[in-house]
Amino acid sequence: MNQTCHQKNLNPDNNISKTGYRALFILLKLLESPKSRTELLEYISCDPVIKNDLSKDSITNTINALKKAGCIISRPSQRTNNKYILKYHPFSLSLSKENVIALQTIRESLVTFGDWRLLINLNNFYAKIAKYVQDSTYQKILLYNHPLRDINHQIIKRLMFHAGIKKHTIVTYDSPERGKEDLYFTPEYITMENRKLYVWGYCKKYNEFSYLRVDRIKNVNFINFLAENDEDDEFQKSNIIVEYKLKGLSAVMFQTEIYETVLEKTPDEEYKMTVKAVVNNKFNFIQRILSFGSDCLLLSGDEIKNELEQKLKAMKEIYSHDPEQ
Amino acid sequence: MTQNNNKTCSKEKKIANSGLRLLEMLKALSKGPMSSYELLEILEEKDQKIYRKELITKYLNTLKVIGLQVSKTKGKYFLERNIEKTSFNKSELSLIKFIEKYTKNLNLEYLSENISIILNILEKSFSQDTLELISQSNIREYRLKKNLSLKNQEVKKYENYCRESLKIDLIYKTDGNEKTEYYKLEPLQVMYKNGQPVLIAYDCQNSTYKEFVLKFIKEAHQTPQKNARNYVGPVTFKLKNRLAKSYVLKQNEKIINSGKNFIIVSNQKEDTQLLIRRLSRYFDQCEILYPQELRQNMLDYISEIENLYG
Repeated sequence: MNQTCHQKNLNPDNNISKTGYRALFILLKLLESPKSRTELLEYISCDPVIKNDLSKDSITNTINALKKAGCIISRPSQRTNNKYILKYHPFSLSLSKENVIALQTIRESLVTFGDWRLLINLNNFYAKIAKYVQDSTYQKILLYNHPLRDINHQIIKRLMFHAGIKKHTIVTYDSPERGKEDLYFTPEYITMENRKLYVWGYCKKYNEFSYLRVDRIKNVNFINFLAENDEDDEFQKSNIIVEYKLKGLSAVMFQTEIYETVLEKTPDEEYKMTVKAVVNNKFNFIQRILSFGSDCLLLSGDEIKNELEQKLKAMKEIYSHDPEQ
Repeated sequence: MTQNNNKTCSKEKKIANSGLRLLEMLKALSKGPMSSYELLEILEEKDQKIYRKELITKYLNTLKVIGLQVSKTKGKYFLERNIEKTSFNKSELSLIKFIEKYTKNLNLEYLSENISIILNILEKSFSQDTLELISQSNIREYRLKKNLSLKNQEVKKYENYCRESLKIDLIYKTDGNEKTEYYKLEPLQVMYKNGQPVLIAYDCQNSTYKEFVLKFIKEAHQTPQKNARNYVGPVTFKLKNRLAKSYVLKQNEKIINSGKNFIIVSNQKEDTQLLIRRLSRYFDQCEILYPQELRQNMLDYISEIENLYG
């Protein structure tokens, strides 16, 4: 810092405000860390610019000036280990409301990609730079206005850890219907859909590959009693291979799920692509097929087709009479 | 916060006034570039005194001597580095690069301007160890799995259409290929979905909201007709049983009625075709109540799928 004293045309003994210099000096020292009066005096006594301009009230007067300028500085006390603590200052470059809205727009557009790892990184980054926002309402937007705000990061870490080593867990799940319940669950992967995070895996209770909403998981504990893995073997056999074709905007906007592969692209034909899916959760897969509407044609998987037809019949039924209020 | 401090300070009275003036000047510079005249005016207004302009030179010198670099451009002084420093690791720096490139690709003017200001402030706030990290390592931007495909000028064009609030005639490739349809629209907003720029507009002929993927718009012409903003009412739908308990409302939705095993949701401004697709995922646990036309659309949607396998 003192090197700057030697800059051209900047003679510290001429044309500078030493009182102002002292105010800045103390501000910069307190920005580094809390300091006691004695420590500040020691630092000042070593500084070539102000070492000779120190009266007994210098520190108090300067601290008062800092406070009057808008700083929040706690008084030295036993609780603060006799140190001045700078809790807030108004001298930082700051992000405006418009800046925050721009950052939020970017976050909202990235949410649609479903890349939950990116979203977590982005949320952490926004939380880190939130200190540059002075308006507390807009600071809160950066800190909390995202779809993963109710999710405990430790839960995600544990789920990913167990998924990585293919270990079984007991998860405490807060079900909207049954309240808290412990489920034997083998996590495999996490997806993000419709602004919500889901963990997919084998659930012993339902004896099928299913998903749980991560924000409803309250705890994850490792277990090892399923070492023989009989249930898993049986479950592996229950996968259904299905092929389907897509046309129209559904084909153009198509994004593969983790269990899908594009077998063929045929841009010159009515159906633009053929997709193969290894279906381990029929309910979820039929949901997906329905959302493509008549753009999707199932080529194989009679079991799925039958279930789809039943679902369509049940849906039609509710529209056969006047709306239920 | 400042008021409380003032109270405390007024009791103690002893203040380093020259220090306070310099701090006020630093505060002003932290808000943005300032001319020496503007800085002088701020100090004079605070103290209700007249100062000589040499005072500003003296204070600027003081800032420089202590190491706060101040530069001048177009007659205005600004801080080269932020007083509040932050350390960023490699992954955060990679994210900063990503945000910069992503925004550039989005090509929305107001976003680019704001992100440029934000990145400038962050760069000024890099701690010494962050600056060293940047100089020593090759920071690569975070890579999205799905690439953005954009026609930059097109995005700007539709952004302007939305801003100018005039109706547009639009020809849209409904299947992303040869088949086209004509629309008379009130353009409302350009958004990005799955990396694709999308125009959200009000379809004047069908009285519905619609989304148009920009790359499938064949032609668009602005008309002299003003947006009427005479939009349709909400869509209401009923969700039952477990779904009623677990459903997370979208930004454009609210619950207008609820019972033991159901909720009734009011949805505003969603593309009705996309809404039907979304609600179809809830099978018979969801029923569109209003408008009647949309109930019929849902029935048609179901019948079209049934016909594929009939």
